[in-house]
Amino acid sequence: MTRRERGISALVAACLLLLGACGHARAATSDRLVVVATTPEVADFVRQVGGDQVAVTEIIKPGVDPHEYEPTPADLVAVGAAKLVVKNGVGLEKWLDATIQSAGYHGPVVDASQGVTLRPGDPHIWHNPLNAKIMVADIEQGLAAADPARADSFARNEQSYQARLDKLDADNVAAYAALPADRRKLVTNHDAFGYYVDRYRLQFVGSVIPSMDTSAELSARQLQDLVAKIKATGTKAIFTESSLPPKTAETIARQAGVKVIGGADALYGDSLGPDGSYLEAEEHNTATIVAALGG
Amino acid sequence: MAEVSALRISYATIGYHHTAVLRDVSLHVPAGQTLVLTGANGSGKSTLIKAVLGLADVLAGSIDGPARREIGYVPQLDTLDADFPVSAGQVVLMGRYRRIGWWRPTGRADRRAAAEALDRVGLADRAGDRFGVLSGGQRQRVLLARAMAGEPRLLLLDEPFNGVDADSRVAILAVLRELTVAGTALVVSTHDLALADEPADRVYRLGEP
Amino acid sequence: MLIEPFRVPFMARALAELALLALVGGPVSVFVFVRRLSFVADALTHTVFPGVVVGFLAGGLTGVFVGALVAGLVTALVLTLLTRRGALSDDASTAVVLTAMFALGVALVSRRPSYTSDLTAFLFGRLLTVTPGQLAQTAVLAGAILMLLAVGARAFLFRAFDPGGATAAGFRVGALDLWLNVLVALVVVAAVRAVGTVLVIALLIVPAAAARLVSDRLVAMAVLGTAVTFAAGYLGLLISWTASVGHGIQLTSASAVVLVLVAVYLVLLPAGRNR
Repeated sequence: MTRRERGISALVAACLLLLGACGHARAATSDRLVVVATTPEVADFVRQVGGDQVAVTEIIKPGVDPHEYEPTPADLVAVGAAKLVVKNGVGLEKWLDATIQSAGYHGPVVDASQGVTLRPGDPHIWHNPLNAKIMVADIEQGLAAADPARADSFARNEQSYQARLDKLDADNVAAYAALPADRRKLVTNHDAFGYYVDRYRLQFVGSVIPSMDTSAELSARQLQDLVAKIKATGTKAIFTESSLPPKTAETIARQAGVKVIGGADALYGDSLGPDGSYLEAEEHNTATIVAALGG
Repeated sequence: MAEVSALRISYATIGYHHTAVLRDVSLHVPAGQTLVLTGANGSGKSTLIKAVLGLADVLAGSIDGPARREIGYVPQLDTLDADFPVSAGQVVLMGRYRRIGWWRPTGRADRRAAAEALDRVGLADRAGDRFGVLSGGQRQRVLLARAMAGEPRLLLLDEPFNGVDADSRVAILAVLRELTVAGTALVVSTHDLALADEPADRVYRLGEP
Repeated sequence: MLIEPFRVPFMARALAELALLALVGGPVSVFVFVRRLSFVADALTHTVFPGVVVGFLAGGLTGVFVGALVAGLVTALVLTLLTRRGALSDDASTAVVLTAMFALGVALVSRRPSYTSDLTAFLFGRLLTVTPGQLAQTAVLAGAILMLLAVGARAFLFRAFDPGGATAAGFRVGALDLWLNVLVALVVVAAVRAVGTVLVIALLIVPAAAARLVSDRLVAMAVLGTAVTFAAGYLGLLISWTASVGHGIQLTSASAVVLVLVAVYLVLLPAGRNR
């Protein structure tokens, strides 16, 4: 080896030593049921049903786009160590299968969308509280099967949460009943609110990203069509979303001469708020929409 | 004494892609003799040499010479990259490839021929040095050794004295003399008439087209 | 501590994949370096993109590999032909081909109402989800590349150093150029799955550039290039692991590897001034 070649080997060795000195894997020690949940929504449901009997690792954090995600080493370790994996389903988590395979997880996977009536190709099922009730039931079943000793506790938690979901739905119905019919027109950032629109019989005028996932763009023609539609239908506002950049929505709002609702008031389309609560996010959505369209 | 002909060009028109550069070229180089090609820059000396190598087109007439395997070629020095990470010894070894084909590994005989060639040009001790750190004259000698390593019957040298210091020039001329004594035919091109006389048995002048 | 993370199967597979890429990247990058093919190599990383799209549209994820392969080989052929007689300068014709192919890929992709994260995977790689089957594929491809390289190495070298002399010696320069371009395309295809088309260019350029700072012997350069790439792979994965598992910081593994590779080059840069 030449001197230079020796010098480089020493440098590499020094770097390795330095790295070794910092950081180590966090060991998980608890006798709670170890569950990995993919999205903030299903994670919240798991926590509500599981209570303090479960230790939940959430892969997609609030505000992160779930349609495109690259799992980190920590995610793979968590999946490998889990007793149960819970997913939203309907093709939302395209990265999950490869993740499960790579992590070497062989346990059950709960598909929370089981039993939900689907709109073709639309994974955002949770925006209809009635669907959320089905998802929660599926999750409770999965948790009970994975940990029968705690089934009673899970069943109790589920019952009380289902009641809260009923209340959410009732409140939403009341809110829209108070909004004049010709104002119930929705333009969102991407097409995430299909189930919500169906449930509360709103009119969906269009979305800034013409797709149910986030990787498409309006062509010039589509953009003009959307602006024309907004003007023609008398839609009062465009809503941006928490996990998507607002620029295009702002541009369209300017062209169409309507308000854009964003920033802290942005809707939770793909994600939840930082507190990770489904109920709070849905309440926020309804309140924001009704206020913007009504005023 | 009957001369063994190494190279005979008869009424040849030479050029590239149907465009003629040289017309009506006739010359003859017997084995063991040196032909010097002279002419100003741009008169077609390199083109003539390339035609013998098959790198330019013969549009009329004929060129009769040895098989490609038996022709050695020493190109102009400035066509090569001085930063290239290759050693003088490796360069000389390249001269053996034509003999052994591109896919077979070099054997002991090849390495010996290359070492001998490098020794004959007086650079045996520089075999491990990078080609680019040698002086212009030394590099030219390495290229000559490369051509010699292939044991050619005909050796073509394109402006071998350009950018070469006096010592290297003397060494090169000495080696060329040895080669002709051993029966190799040489074609040496140069634009410098003063250098032309020393090695020449015959001279061929290329003029204005 | 330094070995622990690699006891985990997916980390071991990621490291193995990078080791294979280091094995082919070292030698091939040396030839890219001496032939000054850096731009051609970059072009190839762009031109596999439409192949990826077409392959995906035609055959899903498995189609992607085949699509990339076909696109890479076609590009190698087209680029070789375009630059053969110096009809256009190397850079100009290369730029034309790469932008045309990439635009074609974008046009194809945007016809679909929604394009999925599968394609993002091919732009940026999915190092941590390499399957044993994919690892085997990479190994086979790496073996083929090394064999083809070994057979042609001497000819490539002569042609790179002295194209005129090589032609005079009977080497077919056009065929050799095509052969080397094909080998570069194969490395791109092999590396696409692990680090993506955007980052694979680093594996084709940095190893030889870094090695050249330290050595001026070809074989040493190839070995050093491989060693440096493997070290970058090891350190990059380690950093990505430590950041993620130890501190909850998200840092994609492929980009960590490339950053380490570039860092090694920068560290070696002062050493190269004296050569």
